[in-house]
Amino acid sequence: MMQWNRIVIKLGGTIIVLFLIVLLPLGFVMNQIFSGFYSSQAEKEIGHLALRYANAIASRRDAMTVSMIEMMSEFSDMKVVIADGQGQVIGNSGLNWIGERFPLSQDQVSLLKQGRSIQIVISDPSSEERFLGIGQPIADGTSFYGTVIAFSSVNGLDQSLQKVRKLLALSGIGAFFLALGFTYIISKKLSNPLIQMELATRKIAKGELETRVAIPSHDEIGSLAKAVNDLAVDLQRYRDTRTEFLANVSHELRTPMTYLEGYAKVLKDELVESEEERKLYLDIIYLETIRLSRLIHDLFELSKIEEGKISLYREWLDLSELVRNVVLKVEPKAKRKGLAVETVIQDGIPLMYADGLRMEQVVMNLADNAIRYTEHGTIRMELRYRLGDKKIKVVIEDTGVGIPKDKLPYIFERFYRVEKSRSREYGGTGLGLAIVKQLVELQDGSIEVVSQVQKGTRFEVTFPIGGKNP
Amino acid sequence: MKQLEWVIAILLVLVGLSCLTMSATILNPSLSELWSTFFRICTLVGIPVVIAGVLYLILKGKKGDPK
Repeated sequence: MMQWNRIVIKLGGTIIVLFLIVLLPLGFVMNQIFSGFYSSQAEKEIGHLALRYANAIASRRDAMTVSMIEMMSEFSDMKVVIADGQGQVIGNSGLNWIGERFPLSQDQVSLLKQGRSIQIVISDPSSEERFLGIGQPIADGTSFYGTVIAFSSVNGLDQSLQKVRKLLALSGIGAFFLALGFTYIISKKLSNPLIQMELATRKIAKGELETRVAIPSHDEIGSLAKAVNDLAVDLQRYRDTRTEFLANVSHELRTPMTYLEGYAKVLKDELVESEEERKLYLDIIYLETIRLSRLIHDLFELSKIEEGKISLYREWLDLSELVRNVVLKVEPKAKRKGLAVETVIQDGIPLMYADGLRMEQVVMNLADNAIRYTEHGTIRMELRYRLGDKKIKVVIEDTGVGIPKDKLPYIFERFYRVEKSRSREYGGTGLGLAIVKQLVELQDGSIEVVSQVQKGTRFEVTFPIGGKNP
Repeated sequence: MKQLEWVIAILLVLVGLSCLTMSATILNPSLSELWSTFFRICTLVGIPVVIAGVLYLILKGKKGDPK
């Protein structure tokens, strides 16, 4: 069974309506042309006939000529009336019902006297037949003698016209069917891609993300099909990432929970053997809850950033002050580990249009990491400004354990840790660098890392100054 | 497009062509005139179709090559 697609009907219907918009006036105009043509032909004929007869009579104005003309007309079945200057009928062929007088108006007479033809319409009272007549003056240049009027049946003309009209209508219908057939084909072919896409998109909406649309055309519809396919790919990837993320998160949460449960149970069941042990277990429980809450906080932050639900409060910042503040905050921690902190701030650093809180978060995070993964040596904080492309660069360098080259591309990924056990030791959540990267990119910046195992790591964060110049 | 749809479309086109041919020749009916008129009408219908088809193939070829 055929499917009645609404869009096919819409498209096809529109084309047919357009076709009719053209066809109907055309038909009418053709009808007028034919009618006009036929009438003017008939008029010409009878006009010429009347003229010839009028001229013949004008040259020999006697009764014989008139009766000869009468006879000729009767033989050739022409309808002619010959009247004198006073309207008296002196010759009649085929219109016996007219009578003795043929009334002419003043205007008509004056026209005839000027040598011009006149048009007359009369009807037979008994048969209702209508006639069109053209009257020519009988004149020889100086005097006016009367008129010869030749008639042609209007009804006859109408009958012929009817035939032509019927044929025009038939051809119009033929054209209509022709249009219908082609329109059907064309609207089907044009709507087909759209219908295919509708089916595919519906399937994708239901969750069958493997569906793809195959439309090879290079126009906007083909581009739409590509977009639908890309959407499906994107959705698939998102779905897979989400599954992976949830798996990651539940795994990450499980570990501290295991600790908490285990040690809490031991304490609850009073299986502790010494006060020292008790204190140890309580410490562990405390640390794990801290870690857990930090993890949850980081997760929340990260998901907010990734969903774009973070709003930045940008203002003009003095980064040198910011960096110095961070150094002040981390110096104690560094000193405790026996590390030196070096600060190098270039002169004339311009203000930067950014979110102060987030910038501090970024620098703080990187500084913390540097301290955490360095056992001895120096932590170096640099702040530079590149005039050429108006970019500010923050560098955090350490002489720590470094990151292996093959692991380097992955360090910004969620939950990625170079060595799981080690970062656990240092209290890491695995989300720090992921958050840093998001925050950097949110403020139109970029982050790069260079590292060598056992030598150290160097993070470079570059930002445009941003905003309009103050 | 399915079989049935093609048949219907072609039928409509044929009906249209026959109406046109008939109206053109009925005043001077003769078998040879009928056929020649029919073919002339088909040609006139075919000209824009062929032009459109050729243009379509050209454009398709053009887009295909650089890609």
